[in-house]
Amino acid sequence: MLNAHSLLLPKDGLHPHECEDAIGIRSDLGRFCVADGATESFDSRTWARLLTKHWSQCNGLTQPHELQSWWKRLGERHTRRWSERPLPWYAEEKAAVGAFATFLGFEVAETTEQGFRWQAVALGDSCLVQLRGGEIVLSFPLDEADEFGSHPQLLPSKPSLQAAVEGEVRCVSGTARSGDAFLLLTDALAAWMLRYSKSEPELTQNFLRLLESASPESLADLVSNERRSRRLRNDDVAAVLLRLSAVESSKAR
Amino acid sequence: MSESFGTESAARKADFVADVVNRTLHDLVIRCTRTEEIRSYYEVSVIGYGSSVGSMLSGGLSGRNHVPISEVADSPARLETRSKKVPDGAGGLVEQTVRFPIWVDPTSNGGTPMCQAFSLAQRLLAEWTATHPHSFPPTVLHLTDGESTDGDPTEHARQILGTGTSDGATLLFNCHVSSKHAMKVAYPNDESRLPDEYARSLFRCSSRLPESFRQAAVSMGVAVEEGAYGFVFNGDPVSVAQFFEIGTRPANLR
Repeated sequence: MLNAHSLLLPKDGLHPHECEDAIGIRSDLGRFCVADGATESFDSRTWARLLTKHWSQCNGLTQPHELQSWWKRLGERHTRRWSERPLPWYAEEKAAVGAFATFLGFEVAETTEQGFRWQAVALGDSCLVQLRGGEIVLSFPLDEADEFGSHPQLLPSKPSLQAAVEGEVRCVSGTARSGDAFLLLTDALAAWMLRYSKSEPELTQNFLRLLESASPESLADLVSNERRSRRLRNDDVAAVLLRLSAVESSKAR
Repeated sequence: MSESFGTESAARKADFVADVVNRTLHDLVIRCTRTEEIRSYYEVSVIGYGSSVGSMLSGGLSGRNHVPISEVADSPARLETRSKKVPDGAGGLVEQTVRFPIWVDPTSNGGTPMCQAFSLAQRLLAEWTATHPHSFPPTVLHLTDGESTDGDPTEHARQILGTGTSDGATLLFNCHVSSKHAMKVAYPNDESRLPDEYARSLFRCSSRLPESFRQAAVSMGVAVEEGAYGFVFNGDPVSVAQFFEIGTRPANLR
């Protein structure tokens, strides 16, 4: 079993049920994903949750051509949720445009005694970070904190709008060793990690340690402190941490 | 207000301003709509001044101030329909009928009792900041078509700027509209291009645009330099619409 640890927190001042980031974890399948529902869109929490729940339990869906029919099907499902009930004028207007979310999916499988192959697919600014010996060796699809802006590519729920982003899907694959760690992060945490992992390694290492030791209160404190000091944007945060271990993973697959 | 904005626009100012305010409220409502419900990220007061000074909201919200955006959404005075050109998906535009909620009706009478209006705004801000001490500071978008007719409003403006929350002082942005073909000055960094003492006094009552507002302006294609003030002088209809959009786009809710 691949051992995954995760964190999901809403913006400061909001309730957990208002968090529009979502996480999908299927350690038994080696599939992990995060999505960041765009706050200003309609029912983006459901859209982010649909994407993560379904991607994590499917096969494949790591190449652009595989994704189109999948996200069309899920988009239709999201649309149906709202099309059959009377809505006030503002909800009807907003539902007509639908929801938007970023998405990052990561699949990993053991290949040899000490080796792993992995694939990732991304739309938008949720990021995969590969760590080796505590150092970032890869960040995908963005690799600089300054690249994060307020207008990332987003996957629309409305099937009629999805064609416009087909060309924006990014894919990457690679190999990893036992002991490597992978992080799946939505934008605020990804920008924070990329900005401070070099200048303040003890801070980001502490974050990983708390994530791995499943200390939700200490983690929430760290996030709150970083938000208060304005180093971390007050946004929903989602993180999945996965440390590869040949022994552990061979049991699973 | 009953003059048109100079010769380039036939729209009566009052109609145009009411449209802009209604569209702004509509945009705020839509922005806060999550599902059938609305998150009350904002509370809104709309003050009109002319023959009288007070809330401009019509219908069920008549006379109200500090109205949560969820109540704004549920209580337009009426829903009108307008036609709007929208992309047809094939590179063209098609006309579509859209609902246009009305909260504010055009009015154009009386003078420009700016001191009274600022004084009311200051009272409302003091009330609101006392009960929301840690919120994003209030934003006042002030639109005027002339000089104050009840005295120098500078001290009242200072009192507005003296209110605030732990997150900062109240932001006061001023937009002056003109019926003359006079040179527009939008979001200046200093007073050097302002034509007269009246313009300079309004400029001195304006807050600097915080970076998030400035970026909103830049993303709309409005050239605004760092350090610019939330101030427009001799604005035309386009600049009024932009002024409201820039002034209500700071909170990045993503």
